[in-house]
Amino acid sequence: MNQKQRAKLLHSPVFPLVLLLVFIATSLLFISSATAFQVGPAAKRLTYAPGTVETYTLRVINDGSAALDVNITAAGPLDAVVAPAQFTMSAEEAVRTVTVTLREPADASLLVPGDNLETITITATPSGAAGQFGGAVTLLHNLVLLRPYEGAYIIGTLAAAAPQAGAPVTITLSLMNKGSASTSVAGAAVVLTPAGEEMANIGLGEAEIAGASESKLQQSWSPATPLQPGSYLANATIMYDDPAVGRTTRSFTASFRVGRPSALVEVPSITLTPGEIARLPITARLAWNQPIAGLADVRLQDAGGTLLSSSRTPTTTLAPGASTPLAAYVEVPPLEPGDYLLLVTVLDAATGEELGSATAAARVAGAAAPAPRPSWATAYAIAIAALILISVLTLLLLRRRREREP
Amino acid sequence: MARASSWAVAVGLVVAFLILAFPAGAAVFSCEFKASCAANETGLLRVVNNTNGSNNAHAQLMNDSGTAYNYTLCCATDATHVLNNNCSNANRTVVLNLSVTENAHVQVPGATPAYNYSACMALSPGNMSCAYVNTTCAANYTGIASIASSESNNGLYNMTNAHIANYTFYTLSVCCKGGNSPPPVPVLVYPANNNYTVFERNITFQWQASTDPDGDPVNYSINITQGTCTSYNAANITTTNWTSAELCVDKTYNWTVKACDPYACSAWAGTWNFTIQSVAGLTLLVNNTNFGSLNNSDTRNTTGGAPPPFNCQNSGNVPLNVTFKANSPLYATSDLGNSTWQYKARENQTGAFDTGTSQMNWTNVSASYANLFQGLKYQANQNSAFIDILITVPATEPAGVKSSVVTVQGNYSG
Repeated sequence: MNQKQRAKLLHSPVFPLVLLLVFIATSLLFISSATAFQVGPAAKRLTYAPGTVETYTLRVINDGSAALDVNITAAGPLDAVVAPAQFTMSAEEAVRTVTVTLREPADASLLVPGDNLETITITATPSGAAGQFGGAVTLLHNLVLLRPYEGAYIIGTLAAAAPQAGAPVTITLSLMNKGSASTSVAGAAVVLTPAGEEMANIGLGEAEIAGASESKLQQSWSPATPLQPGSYLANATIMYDDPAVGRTTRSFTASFRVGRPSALVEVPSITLTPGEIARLPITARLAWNQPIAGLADVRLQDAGGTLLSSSRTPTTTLAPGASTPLAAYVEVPPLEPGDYLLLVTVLDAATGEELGSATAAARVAGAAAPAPRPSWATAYAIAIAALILISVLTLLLLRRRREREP
Repeated sequence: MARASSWAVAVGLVVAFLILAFPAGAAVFSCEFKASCAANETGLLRVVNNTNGSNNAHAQLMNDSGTAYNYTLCCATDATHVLNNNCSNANRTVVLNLSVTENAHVQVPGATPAYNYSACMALSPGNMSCAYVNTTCAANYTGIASIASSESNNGLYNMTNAHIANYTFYTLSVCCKGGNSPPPVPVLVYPANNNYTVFERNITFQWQASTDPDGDPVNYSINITQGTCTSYNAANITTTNWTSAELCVDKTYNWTVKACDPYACSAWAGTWNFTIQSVAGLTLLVNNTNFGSLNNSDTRNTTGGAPPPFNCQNSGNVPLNVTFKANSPLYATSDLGNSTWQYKARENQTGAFDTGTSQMNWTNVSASYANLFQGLKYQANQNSAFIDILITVPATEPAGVKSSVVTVQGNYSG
């Protein structure tokens, strides 16, 4: 738009409309709270006892730097009462304790068999913030009242762990009887490779579990051949008698790791050219029993540790026990000639866990040095040799011509 | 009744005396000069004087090939221990040095110049230690001999070039203590007893060091038990702390520690208990974003970092399912629930949540809570995630500042 066109537009009747369009949505803001808070316990489990009054405390923790307006509500079939339900916590007040009171109904039919969930919602808003610009973080506290089922009803959680390669594998089956009848539970577990190959069959023993109570079956297994680092699977089965339905079996599955995945990372020393993108060949040999999606984080830094450039490779599947190439591209900033350092860290792309690392020297070369000039003596020698050669050739030509002439 | 009480007090005193006099692991141990040792006794060395007696005598090694001297210093212990006089035993204690293998003067170990031959004793299980004092032996030591000489060793007499005699004969007593005193019961420190609001899931258990009375190296065993969750025990811990695997929340654990030297262990410390309280916590590290000036139909989002996305961190100790909603519409001409305002989940720290079930694609912001992050982790370096925002200014939206309030809600599924 030249000056003439601009002047024409300024005097045009549509100019106010143009200004209006520019002003639309001058500032689109989202403002949420600067809230940081916690609630403990995050959940509470109680077992139904008709007509009793249960009371427990809930801690609201202000771990941020702002005062908070806290509002607590309860919703669900249990009519829990929280007191105080509204209060303000100053930034300095770290913890406020509130009381949750639950009057359990005398009439069991008011509850469903099994878990009855009351959700207690704790909302924290920065204190004094205008509603339009304030924000909120909400945390839920789940109050669960168990009305035991008729008979025996066992739920469980399987956990297996081995702190490092060669250590015994501890298998724990945590059990809860959500029924009202006591029962005897017997369990067994198998340990499997990721490919499903069975490695061991382990008896977990027996436990008598009263109605609405907890127990566990725990056993350690020391394999004859130490388990190699890797991921494994445990399957457990329990068997118990439910007075209502007879012999019952349930199965549980858990994966567990022996040791932690690691990789031997190798990086060659390279020469860098300022302003160019350098290709850095990396290899990672994975010490784990199944593939892991990995990537390499590459950092170029100077001798003082100052970060100069960084990049990440694409995610690549690292094969167990094999060297996998990872190609990194490093943008080389304008650098003085000299020695630098490349730090390469290979990460598990899914978990961010470090698998291994390596360092390599990186050199930025100076400008190419000119080729050495021949000395005067050398030049003379070359010139004299050339003259001799030319003289010899000339003599030979003259002699041959003379021989041809009659 | 009074008589019964007196009996009870008397029995209690006797038991207390026995406990104090014979601490756990200590061996009953004694030595005396005899013409020959009994089958259950072990000879330390042989002695004889010029009148064929055992006082003011010269010494002979037990394995000397010459004619055996008249008297042997025979040592015995209780039925639970074994004595051995072999100096090549790794557990041996040098009781005295000898100048030669027979007709020898004796020397306290450590005196200089050191004699080349030794009379040793080893106790199994446990160990033996000897002290050389110019008085009677201490209560927990057994006097086995006495020695004397007129030669000074660094200003001390009787230490070298000495004759040997019965324990009561000379001033310098050779006192040995058989057996082992285990280290004292460790004092537990952390987590404190009855602490029901422990936060960290991987607890570093701490206790005070136990100093072994015999100066032996001490290691510790820890036992952590819980009725429903995995119980742990670890041994041969050489520091005064031990970090557990991840423990369960809202379960009461018992824990205790004992101290061991190479021969025996103390009793377990009194059991303490603690509970890791489940804590749900959310922090919005980046809690506002500003899209600046936009025109109608313009579209912007936070994926490039300008403006920044919301940054949500799980600050508790349990995983959270996080949902997201807006408290009010953003525009005058467009309600919630359409493509003019959308959100999605994005990892800030790799592996922070389950990307398979979280809201990874743009979806319309709703007035009711909708899925954002599933299983937002609480572990350090894996607990931070982004909430990306995308806006498109409606074509007919009037000018003005547009704002709204968003709420994130965290729920521990238990």
